[in-house]
Order: sequence, then structure tokens, then C-alpha cells
Amino acid sequence: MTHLSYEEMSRQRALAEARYTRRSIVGGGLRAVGGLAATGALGTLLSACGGDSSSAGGAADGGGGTIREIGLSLTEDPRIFGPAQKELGIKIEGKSDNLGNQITFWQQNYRQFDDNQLNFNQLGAIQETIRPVPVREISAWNDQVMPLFREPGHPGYNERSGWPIAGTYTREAVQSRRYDVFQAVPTWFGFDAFGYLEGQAKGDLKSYGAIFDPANKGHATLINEPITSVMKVATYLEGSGRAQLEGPINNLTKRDLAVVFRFLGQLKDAGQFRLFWSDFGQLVDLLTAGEVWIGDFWASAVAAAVEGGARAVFVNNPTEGSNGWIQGVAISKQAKDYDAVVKYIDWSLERGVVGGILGVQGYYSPRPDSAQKALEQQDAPSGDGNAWEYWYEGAQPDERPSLESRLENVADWQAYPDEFQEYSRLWTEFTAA
Amino acid sequence: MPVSVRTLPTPAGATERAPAGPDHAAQLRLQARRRRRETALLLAPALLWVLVAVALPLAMVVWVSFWRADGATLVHTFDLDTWSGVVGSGAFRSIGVQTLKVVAIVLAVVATVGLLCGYFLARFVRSKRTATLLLMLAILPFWTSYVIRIITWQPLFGNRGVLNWLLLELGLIDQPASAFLYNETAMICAMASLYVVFVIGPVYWALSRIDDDVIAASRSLGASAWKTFWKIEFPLAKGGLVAGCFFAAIFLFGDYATEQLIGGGTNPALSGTIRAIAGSGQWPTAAALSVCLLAMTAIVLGIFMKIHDLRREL
Repeated sequence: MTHLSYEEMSRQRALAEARYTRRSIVGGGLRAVGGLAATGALGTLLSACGGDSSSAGGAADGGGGTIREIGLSLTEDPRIFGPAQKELGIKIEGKSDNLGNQITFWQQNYRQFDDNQLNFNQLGAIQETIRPVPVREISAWNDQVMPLFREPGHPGYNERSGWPIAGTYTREAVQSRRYDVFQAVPTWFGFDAFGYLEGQAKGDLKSYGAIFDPANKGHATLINEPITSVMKVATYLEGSGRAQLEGPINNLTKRDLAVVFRFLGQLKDAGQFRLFWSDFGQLVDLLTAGEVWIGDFWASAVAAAVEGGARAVFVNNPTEGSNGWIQGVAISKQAKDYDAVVKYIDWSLERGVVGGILGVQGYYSPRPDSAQKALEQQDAPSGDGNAWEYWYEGAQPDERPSLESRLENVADWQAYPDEFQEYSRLWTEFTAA
Repeated sequence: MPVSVRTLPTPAGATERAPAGPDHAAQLRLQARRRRRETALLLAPALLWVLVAVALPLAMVVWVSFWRADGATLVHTFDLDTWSGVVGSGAFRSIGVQTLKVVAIVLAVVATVGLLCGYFLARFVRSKRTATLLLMLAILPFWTSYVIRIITWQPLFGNRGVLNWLLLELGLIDQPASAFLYNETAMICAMASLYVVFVIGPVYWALSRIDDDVIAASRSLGASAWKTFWKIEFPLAKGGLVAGCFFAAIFLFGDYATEQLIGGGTNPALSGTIRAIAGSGQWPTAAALSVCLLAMTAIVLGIFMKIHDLRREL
């Protein structure tokens, strides 16, 4: 799932519009053909011939290396790529995609890429294509990294699912309790919850229950995507004591799924849902037009709707807990330039550029010390104090609680469920019912 | 002055007696071979294009439908797992039925409205210029992008839209009604408005080609206006009507944005389901559903061809 700021989305739209001029289509086509010939086809040919494609790269870029990356648009931000390339002397070729395409595209093409900047809820789907990374090779992964990501038991850790540790390290590293090999390296994270329109939505507006409250019948919504929607509903059902689930809420069993979808089906039959939303821009429009009152909104869309004049509120710490998510870097099994990716990961964690840019959009760095340096130099949105105090420390807790309180409130972390196909099948049935 | 077929000059040589003999037979065979070669050469670019742009991608889709998705990993195999899942799924069947239902309703609406509008333009607007102007106005929305045409429904029929404002001002309602957007009726209306122009144009064209004398003859022989329409105008306009519905059906089967933006995603059609499923990485299921959608579309188009052979219009 893409988590985009309004500015980012606007930039994306502008870029998308500019991209399709006649000249750029011709140019893009030529570049694509050239690129395919240079990397894709050659890489495929080498792999098909059994050639070892993990040789040292960097000849073409002056010695620093080249990274061929796939990610979300947020991680392909030129404000991040620019300084990274300059300071590290490496070349980064990025390709951004949406979640589903990102998984499928990666599955088919990982041989032609060095890394995938992804939501860790995709890791379960691409295990066979990624190269584990020994922790000792990431020098920025030091004592300054939040303990939450280093070992179990710290605030935010979920006993039942084992996340975020279970998502961060390989199964062997977790079982041996050494936590010494990454599946993927976390570089930023955040929390999903819900939002509403003030003055319209009714009921207990601290709880997800308000989304399912008949008082909001015909005005509620959920995102049209199974993993995150189902997890929200499970968070509510278990957190409110309405159901006891077998699996962790980020990895439900078939029996749990039957419970969740029975609940959802009854609500849909009763006309609870106005619609199922599917993208950032659509959600902002729906909120500013007052078409929906309550739902599993993204914080960034709520912020954009407020800018557009809507009295929208994002509930940071719902009664039943938020759903955490982690973004980070997974390295391709056939990365040509492993060292360049490692350098880039270190830079992302330590330099503070990523923490600074994503911090003011409401997201966090596993190395808060590096983000702090960047954020202290910026003002808080309210103009009262600096951005670090506002976004991390909870200087204005009504608007933005502290990271500490959010970690205490997290119900679980988004993961790729073992029963994904069942999630998808039941979601299709539910929307079609 | 129409020229009678009988007065047309006979093609040169056609009446000449063909000389017999082995030389002539060989010459004829040579000519026939040359003609076949020329035909093949002339057809080659088009055939090549159809092969590359249509046949190969379609074959690829069919091939992928026999793969298997193991979690998010695509297993390049040849088995019937995906197909048995798709055929055995009640959800996909009901989505298929829902798709057909919506297409049938929208086609009925666009056929009726398109016929009425085309008839009005051809019979009640005397000036050709005005008729052309009105036809251009009907096509005008097509000068903007498809998405913009759909999105304009929101300021018209949304909570804060023109219709709600009007009803509130007239005192007919005291709260904005949410019945005009994000439901099946709204979706059908939006689709009908999008695709009706496909019918108006061809129907107008077909009706305007009917000689006024034919209509006058019918009326002077005592046929009522209705009988004239039903026995003369409608059969002659049928080609335009079927052609319009034919193209509207192609677009309707593939339309997934209206379902999402106006229908609210709560009444998914097969096209939207394919998009969602492909988006979650399950290519084999999406491919199998695409084959089903293609088959449904082909059957409906086949029915249209049975009703009226559009090749006769070419």
C-alpha cells in the first residue's frame, strides 16, 4: 500500500501529466528500449545462461557503483536520490510502482534489480528472490537503532506474531535469538488507524467500532484491498472483545477469516458501507465533499482533506490499537552491486535526509537520532517549537502524540499473511455480495 | 439520373469466347498464382500486425491462465488449478452475472435513448446544419478525457452537488440525499450517458439516408406514423442501432473506472475484479477471468452480428 503525502501525490500527478507529452513518449520509448537492451535483456540472457551476475559493478559511474532499484514513489523521491548519489558517488536508477504490481513485477524481474524498497507486508511473498544481509555489514545498524527493531520485548513488540522482529530478521536468526541476519533492513515506519469527519460521524470516535456503528450507516468506508482492511477489522473484533482469534491479527487463520467476513458481510447487507475507496486522490475528494464520514483513512489523506477545507480528524491512537507498518530495503538475490546497496542503506539510516523528509510527513526512522538532527532545524507545523518536538516527542499530543505513546498503542504490524489467497478470495466475495 | 445495371458496359473480354488449349490453362494457373501471391503480400502487413498486437498477447493471456500462483510466486506450469478455482467460485459467477446484467441494462437504455435522439435529429430537425450542430453537441463530452467525464458526475449528483442543492432549495428534502451516487443506479446512468453517443450517431446516419419519398409513399398508402416507423424506418435504422450497441458493448465490458468512481466499488464488474486481482499479483486468476470476459464479449458481439450482419454496412 502506498502511503503518500499530499505534496508527494501532487508531485506525482504533475509528473504523470508531464510524462505523456508526445515527445516524452517517444523519448521514453527509446530510453526503455535502450534500457531493456542494456540491462534487462542482457541480465536475463546472463541468468538464463547460468552466468554469475553478481560481479562488482560501478565501471559506468566513476567507481561508486550503480543501484537499480524498485520502490514506491515516496522512496524514489529526488530529494532523497539527489543527495544520496552526490554524497555516495553512486548512481541510482529507480522505478516506482504500486503495491501489487511491485510484488509481481519484482517476482518476474528481480534478476535485473539490486534492491526493492518495500513495505515489509510484502516480504512473505518474495522470500525466494531476496538475499539475506548480515547485520554486521550494515554499520549504521548500531546502538542508536531503536531497541524495538533489535530484539523482542520492547514497547511495540507483539508477542503473538513476533513482529517487528519476525519481519526484520531471517527465521534462523529469530529462532537462534541472535538477530544477526536481516531479511530486509528497516529504514522507516509508521502507523495506520482511522479517521472521520468532525460533526458528521457519530458514536465512540476513539474506537474503530465507529466505522461499524449503525449510526454511521451508509457513510462508512474501507479501502478496497484485503490485507489492510481485514487487519483493521480483526484489530477491532479482538480489541473490543467481540471475537477471540486463533492467529495473530496480521496473519489470520481460515477460521478467523470466516469470523471477520461474517461480521463484514452482515454490515454490508445492512447498508453500512457507502463505497470502498481505492486511491489517495479519491479519498481526499470524498472527504472534502463529505461523501463519507468515517473509515480507514490514511493520515496523509486526512491532512490533505483538512487543507481542502474538510473538518477531518485522524485518530492516531485508537482504543483497539493501531496497525504498524515498516518500509525498508530488501536486496535481490542476484544484485550486481551489493556493496553499493549496503552503502545506500547505511546512508539512509545514518545521514538523516530520509528521516528528515519522511519525518515531516508523519513517518519515523529506526534511527531517531539521525532524524532528530534534520528535524530540529525545521519548524513545527503549528509554528510552536521545532519539527522534532512536534513529530516525535508529542509536544502537542492532541494533534500528534509522541512516538513512545504510539508504540505503546500498536496492536500489530502489517505482514503478508500465509493465507493471502483466502484473504483475496473472501474479499472478492464480500465486495461482490 | 440513376443508371440501370443493364445499361452498364460489359467488362472487356467477358463475353469473348475463351480459347481452349493447354497453353491457356497454364496461363490461367499462373495468373491465379500471381493473384494469390499479391493478395498474400497485400494482407501480410495487416496480418502481421494482428498477430503481434492481438493474437500473441491473447495467447499469452491464455497461457498465463494455466500457471499457478503459489502465494505470490507465479509457477510457470500447465495445470487446471486456476481454472477449477475460477469456474468453481460462486463469487466469480455472480460477478459474471452482475456484469452481464449491467451491460444488458445499459445497452437497453442506450439503444432506446439513442434511437429516440437519432430519430429526433433525423426527422424533426429540418436544417442539416442544426442537426449537425446538435450531433456535435452530443459528441462534445468526448472531447474531454473519459475520467473527467465520469468525475463531473460528482459535482452534479454528490452530497454537495447541483441536484442536491436544487432539491434542498426547493424544500423537497431537508438533508442532502446520498441516493444519486455510489450505487448501481447511478453507475448505470453514468455508463448510459457515456456510451449513448455511440448509438445516436449511427442511428441518425441510417435514418437520414432513407429517402423522404419512401416515407411519403408509406403514409400515402395509409400506413400510420407508427406503422411507417416499425415497418420501414426501424428496419432500415437497425444497422446503425446494432453498430452503435456493438461498440458500446465493447467499451461497457471493459469499463472498470465507472464502477469504482460512480458505483463505489460495491458492485464489482468482471473488468474491475480482473484489475484488482492482477494488482494483488494473482496473474493466473486474472488471466483466466480475462479469458472469460473475452468469451462473454465475443458471445454478445456474435449475437449482435446475428441480429444484423454489420459487414453489410461496410
